Amino acid sequence: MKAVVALLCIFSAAQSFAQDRSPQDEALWILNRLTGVRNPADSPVAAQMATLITNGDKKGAAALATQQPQFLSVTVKEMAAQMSTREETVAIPLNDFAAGIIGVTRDESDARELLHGNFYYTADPAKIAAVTPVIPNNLLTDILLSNLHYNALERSNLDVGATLLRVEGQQIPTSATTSIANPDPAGILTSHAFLAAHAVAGTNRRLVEYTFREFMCTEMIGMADTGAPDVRIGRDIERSPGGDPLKFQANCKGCHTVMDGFRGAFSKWDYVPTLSNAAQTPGGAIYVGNGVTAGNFQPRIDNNANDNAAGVMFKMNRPDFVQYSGGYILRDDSFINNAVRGVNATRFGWRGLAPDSSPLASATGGVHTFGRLIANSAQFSRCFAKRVFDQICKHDLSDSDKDALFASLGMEFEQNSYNLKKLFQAVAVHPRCRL
Amino acid sequence: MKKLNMKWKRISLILAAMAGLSTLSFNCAPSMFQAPKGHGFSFSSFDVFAAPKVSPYSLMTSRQTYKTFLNVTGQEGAATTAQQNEYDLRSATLATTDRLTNVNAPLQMAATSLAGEMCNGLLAKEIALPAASRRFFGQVDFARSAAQNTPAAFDAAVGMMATSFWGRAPSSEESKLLNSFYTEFSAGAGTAAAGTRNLYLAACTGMLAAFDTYNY
Repeated sequence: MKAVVALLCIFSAAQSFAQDRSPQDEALWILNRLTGVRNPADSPVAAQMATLITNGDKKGAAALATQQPQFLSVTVKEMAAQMSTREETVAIPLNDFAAGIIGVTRDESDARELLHGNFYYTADPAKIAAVTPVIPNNLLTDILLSNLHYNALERSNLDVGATLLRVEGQQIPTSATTSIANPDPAGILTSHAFLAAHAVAGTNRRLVEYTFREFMCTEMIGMADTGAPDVRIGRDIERSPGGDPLKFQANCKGCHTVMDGFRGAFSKWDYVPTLSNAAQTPGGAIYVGNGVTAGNFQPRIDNNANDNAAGVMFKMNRPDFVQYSGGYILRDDSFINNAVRGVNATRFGWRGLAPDSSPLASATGGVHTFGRLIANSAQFSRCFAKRVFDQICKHDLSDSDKDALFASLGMEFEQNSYNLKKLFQAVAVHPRCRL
Repeated sequence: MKKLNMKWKRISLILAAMAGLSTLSFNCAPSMFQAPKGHGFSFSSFDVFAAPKVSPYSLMTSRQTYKTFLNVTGQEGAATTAQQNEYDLRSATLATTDRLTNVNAPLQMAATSLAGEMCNGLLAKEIALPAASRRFFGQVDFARSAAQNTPAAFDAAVGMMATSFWGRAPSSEESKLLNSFYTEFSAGAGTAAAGTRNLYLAACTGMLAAFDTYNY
């Protein structure tokens, strides 16, 4: 008897829950999730969305929601902020990396250019001219050498999404007051935020690791392949750790074949932090061929006479830390893809380079070319589908459900010309999104 | 050499197998973490030690909470310096992820402090408007004391705040609680008009800082 009563209670609760999914309830849920904020139950936008849902047009309802300013300034910004730094936290101010993703989403342009385009987004000077407090807007001091511009933009009462302006032609600093055109532009991979997070010190392997982590949703350990050739593994990697060569063969080699194969793309890049001296000598992104011969922006190149590698940064070959003299010496920004065997081939779905109409279209190395390779893979699309799903739906699925769902959403994303705004809309109305 | 009996043979076999497995797994660690053959691709979980998220509800992060408070009080795009400063003070204590397990006492206190500043701004905005143009406090006479205003005005304000802040009407229990608060507060608020403002500041803060506002 008690069991029957309990079952009836559960049934009625379930019915009640199912009956709660009125068009009004659905509309408010989609609006809240796409804008990332709570909206009043009597919101006029929610009412319009409810009418569309009643008429069977859920995607139209989602499109209305993505017109709200909070969609870009809250939802897209939080997704992008997590991808921009090593800490992968939302609790950071707006930066140029996130502004790039917001801008591409707003403009409904091909998201692949986030990894190889020659542009950046900044506040439209005309829209911030009369704002107080003033939003600092100097290209060098506030955008290339710091995050002051984006921080102030976010703190203002301006609609961030509406204020951003796409600027063609990335720049890199050569001093506190001068800059040059970026010779190897790669969208947000060569943004100040991404380089500041991953190109500082080290050996530029972190740039590869985080590119895969953020844009392919794959950790290095997940793509390790001990059977791939170790020809490109650098000299700084010990081949007999602890005196045991088998340990290298069975462990270290797995990640390094892939990571070291790709890191050549970043061999001409470095990021130098601001010097904490009396003058606070600024730091920023450095490129090997920036023409600077003294000071903080002078590239520290590999000038070891035996290496013949003056075209790359010192940290790539570490002539001061040779653990295995037979290791690979990088001399240019070429790279090879060692993530092509077995599971990795189907995992990533490599499809060659993304189309590119820039003068760099014929390049065979550098971050620009690397970005085109990543962006054109099937996993890039699936990864963005996953990120959007996590941002909007906020619950977990089983592994098999995930794979199937993100594959289908990824394909839809590609069929819509890599339109991120449409991806958000498709995810928000997907039957698997709301629990 | 003494022959092993069956029992010891079995034990030896098991020990040998375990030793072999531990050696194999150590040496082949990278390949063990790869997706099973034929799986194609799979999304490794970065949060391997966290419990899976299965709730239909999600907590708002720090900035989402701030923007929500502005949105539901009709102050989006018009945050005051005081509100921005309060957020700067409290943001580190508000949630950094969307997991419900982030809710704790410091978070709730931070939400209450921030809600207080938001309600301060809301009241300043609405008091400056003619009654007919107000969204929340249209029936309230801020020039009169709390006792001189009607319970109906309070009910109307609570209804509007619940619709905006929580996306629903207050439940009967919530209404009882708020009415009890109203009765006690009005009785002790004195005859000054400032008591009315304080009454609605407290009600607004309590409702805005409720958990239902910053989860979705």
